Amino acid sequence: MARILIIEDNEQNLYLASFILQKAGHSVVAARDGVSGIAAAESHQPDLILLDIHLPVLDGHAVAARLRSLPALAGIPIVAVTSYAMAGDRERIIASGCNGYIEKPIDPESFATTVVSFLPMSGRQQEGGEL
Amino acid sequence: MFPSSAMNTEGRRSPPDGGAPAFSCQKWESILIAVLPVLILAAGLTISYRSESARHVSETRRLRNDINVAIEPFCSELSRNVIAALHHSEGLAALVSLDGEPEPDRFRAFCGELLRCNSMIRNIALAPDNVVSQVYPLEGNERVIGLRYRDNPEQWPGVKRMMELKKMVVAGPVNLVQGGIGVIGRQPVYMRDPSEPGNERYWGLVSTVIDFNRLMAVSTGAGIPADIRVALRGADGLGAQGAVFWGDARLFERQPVLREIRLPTGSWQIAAAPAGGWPLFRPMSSPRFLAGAASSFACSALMLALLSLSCARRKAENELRKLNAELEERVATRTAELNRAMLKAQEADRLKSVFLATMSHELRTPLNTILGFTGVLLQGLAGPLNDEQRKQLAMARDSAKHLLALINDILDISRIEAGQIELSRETFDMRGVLESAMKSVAHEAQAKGIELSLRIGQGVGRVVGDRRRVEQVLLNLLSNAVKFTDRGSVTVECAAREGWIETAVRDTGIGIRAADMDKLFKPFKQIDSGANRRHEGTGLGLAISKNLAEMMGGSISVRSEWGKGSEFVFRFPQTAEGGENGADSDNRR
Repeated sequence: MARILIIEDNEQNLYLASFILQKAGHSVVAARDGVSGIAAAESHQPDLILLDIHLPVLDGHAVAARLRSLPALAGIPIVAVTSYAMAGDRERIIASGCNGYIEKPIDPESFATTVVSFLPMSGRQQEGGEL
Repeated sequence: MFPSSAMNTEGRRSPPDGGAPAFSCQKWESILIAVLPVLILAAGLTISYRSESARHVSETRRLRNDINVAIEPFCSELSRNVIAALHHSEGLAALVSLDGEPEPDRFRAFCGELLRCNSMIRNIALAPDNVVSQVYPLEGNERVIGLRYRDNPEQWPGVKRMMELKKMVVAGPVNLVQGGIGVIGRQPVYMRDPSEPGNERYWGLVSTVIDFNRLMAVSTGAGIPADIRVALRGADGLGAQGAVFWGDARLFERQPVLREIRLPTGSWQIAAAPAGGWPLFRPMSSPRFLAGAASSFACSALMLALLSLSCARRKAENELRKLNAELEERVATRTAELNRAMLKAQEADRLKSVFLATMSHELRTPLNTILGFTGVLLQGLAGPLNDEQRKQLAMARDSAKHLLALINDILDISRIEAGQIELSRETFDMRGVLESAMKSVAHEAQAKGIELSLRIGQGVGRVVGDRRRVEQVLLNLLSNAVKFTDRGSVTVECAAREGWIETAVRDTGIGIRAADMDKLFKPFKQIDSGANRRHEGTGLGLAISKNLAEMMGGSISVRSEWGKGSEFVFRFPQTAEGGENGADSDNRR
């Protein structure tokens, strides 16, 4: 299945997302802040990155922009996971290089399928992700 | 903006008292108030007094003139009568001086002729060597014959004077020896010596007695007006120096009109004055003076009033200016206070916004986790569950969902009341929103055995507005309908009409009492609450929905019949107005 990098500082959310994705058969790499997230992306070359926007030190927008500036990682889809759904934020999320976003709270029943839909092989990239 | 306006108000405080020059002007004016009316009064009174006095003088002068004119006939008549009467004695004297003492017959004839001509002459006497020798008429005058003037102390001074003056002298009026009052004219007679023409010898005198009473009777025949009193003085022709012999002597002390009455020698003086006395100078009873004085007072008072008024006005203006300055200062102070209060309020508002944003994030993050894990567990991802575990987990999940809904509602109403909700503007498919909302309540409706149906009319499709908020309103109406309906149906009918999207949500539930209609859209009112709280919810849903609908430029209306059901109609413009980018920090479902 797919290798997914989750950059998320909240331990419970990280565990929940990892658990659901692992149960769905994916392998998960976790990073708890932006800097280690970028490092993990470089070292693991994941198929998809789930990026929390509300991160300490380096926030999601900055992380996305940084990831997009690295040619080696250019093809990896980045999906923002945020409860920060201000109207302006959505545009900023896309503008900073994310392929889409999933709003919190995540729905355990549909979360895995939604994530999968952003994988290149599925051919169904979606902007403004909906649950 | 606010710091600069605060500086402005500070700047405005400095120039409030520009009243110093006006105050000195007031002092100058108060001197004027004290002096000017007094000057006007004094001048007015003086002018009135002077003019009244001048009027009195001229009136008196006119009166004197009138009196002068009035007594003129009497004066001239009197003078003429005396002169005419005594003139005859001159003729006799001339005769004697030529021929010496006439014979008695000749004397009688001559005098008879004279007396026939002049009725006022009482008698004529000849007195050679100052002893009366002949008198005509003799009858009644016998006692005069032989009178020696030299021995008559009463008459001698007059005779002596005549001899000294060597011309006719008028004496009297005197009490006559023969009785009565007479005016005596004594004509000295000088004999001429034919040999020596320059030498004359005193012969004696011719005395003519004029009856005074008759003289006066004849002279006053011309008439003296009754309102004029007259008196005569100048006995013996002494004029002003002579004694008063006719009329009231006091008249001479009353500033009378004085005239000389010419006699052959010397004169008498007549005094004439009004019977009622001269008009007195009494300004206080003169209407003209009183009017003048009154108008002076009036002018003075007017001036005083004008000056006082102008002074009072200036004072009032100063007062007003001062009040204005005070007011401006107060306004400035108040403005500064308001600015501070506004800044404070804005700061409080900002803090509230930050608090709301933080709360919405902080409260929901753990709830999301709870919902996530209960969901995962219920899915069986963490292993199989027995029925009891499934039931309890489902209860935990429902409670968490309910708690999330409560938090969302409270945050929403707080934002609405703070005016912090901004609607976003996006194009979306209304059908999708309707179907999604239906799906959300489908489970509960099915569980309650309620028939759920959706009818979408022609023209309902893409609309521009805040999708999330439209869905929130629809969902609220729908979940209310399902919540308050125990059997029957919930029908949703959506139609596009003249630029509006109208969605009617009808149910066959308990309905709403007419009395409760006005409470329906008020926050925290769940009508059914109180006695028997069967339905969970914050009671905020309808209040939020109504506010959201109105913010969209639309409305929510309701019709209901107690016990039979309700119909809520939500309408909003197909192309919503509103901000390009809403500031909705909320997300849900």
